[in-house]
Amino acid sequence: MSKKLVIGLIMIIIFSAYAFYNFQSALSPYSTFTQAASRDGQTQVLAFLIDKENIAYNRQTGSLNFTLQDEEGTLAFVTYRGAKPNNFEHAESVVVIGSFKGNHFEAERLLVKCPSKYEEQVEGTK
Amino acid sequence: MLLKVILGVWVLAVIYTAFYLPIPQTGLGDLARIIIFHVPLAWVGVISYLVSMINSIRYLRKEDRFYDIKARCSAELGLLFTMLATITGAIFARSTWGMFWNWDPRQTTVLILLLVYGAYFALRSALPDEKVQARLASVYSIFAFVTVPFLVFIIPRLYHTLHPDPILNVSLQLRIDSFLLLTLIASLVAFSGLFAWIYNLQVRLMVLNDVNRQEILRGD
Repeated sequence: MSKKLVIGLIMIIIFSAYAFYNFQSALSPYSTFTQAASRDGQTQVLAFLIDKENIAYNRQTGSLNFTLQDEEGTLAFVTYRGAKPNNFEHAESVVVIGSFKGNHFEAERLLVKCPSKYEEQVEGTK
Repeated sequence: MLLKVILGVWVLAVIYTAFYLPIPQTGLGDLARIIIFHVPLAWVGVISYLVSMINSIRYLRKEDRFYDIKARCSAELGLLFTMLATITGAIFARSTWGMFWNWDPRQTTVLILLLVYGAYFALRSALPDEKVQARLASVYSIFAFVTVPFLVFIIPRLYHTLHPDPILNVSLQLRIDSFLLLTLIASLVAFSGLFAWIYNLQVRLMVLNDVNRQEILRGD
């Protein structure tokens, strides 16, 4: 390979890395509860289910109530009107799409990240 | 001919296995079957772009139109396979995480990749002069391929994504049932074979077209 080509390729790689570094925030749609609270309209919040025993289903309102913790450690009480997704308790992380209504986050959609296991589960391992 | 028959039987065997192989019912359960198609489609897409870049470099060195034709066919197939990977991915997303499309980083990056290679064809069609077209498209294809590792391998691993961890994940652990893995590898071979076959046909077709056009231009 000629010197010119190598230098050219290195420059392309550096510039792409720089461009992607700058696009970082635009690439991920997920935000935190703090960001969601300051925004009007729908937000996608990436969070984790912390209290697996306390997932309550309210028959009267038909909603699922649970507490989530986002990456910054903020806790939020979430209500979701709809069926509980399969694997909800085993989800590695969840994404709630909705907005804050008063002190609770009202999710219109509830997305779950399934554990990527393509094998028989062995208890106690992950 | 024999190779084609073998490929046909192989592909049929993979499709049959994909639907009938007994699959572990924990974790993703039956949904995991889609990876037998989804993963190879994405891999072959990347390989097509690599082949396109290699032929573009060859074109710039030798200025032989044959390499330009090869680069173009390969980019076409790359786009096709990436689209199929995106569609199967959206179906997978609908059933695993709940929505066809929610702008997950995986989805955003694959869309950028599709746009990058879509622009390759826009560039080609915008340049009537064949020599200029071939040269610029070659340079563009090299640039375009530089984005592939970022878009396919690096960014989706840096961000939180709902996409299941890739089979070849950061911790380098293969968490996959051995029979499923075997089917996946067989499928990878099948799709690579399919790529090689379509690619070969398409290149031959375009070379014939090209020879024909040159003859008409010369007035033979």
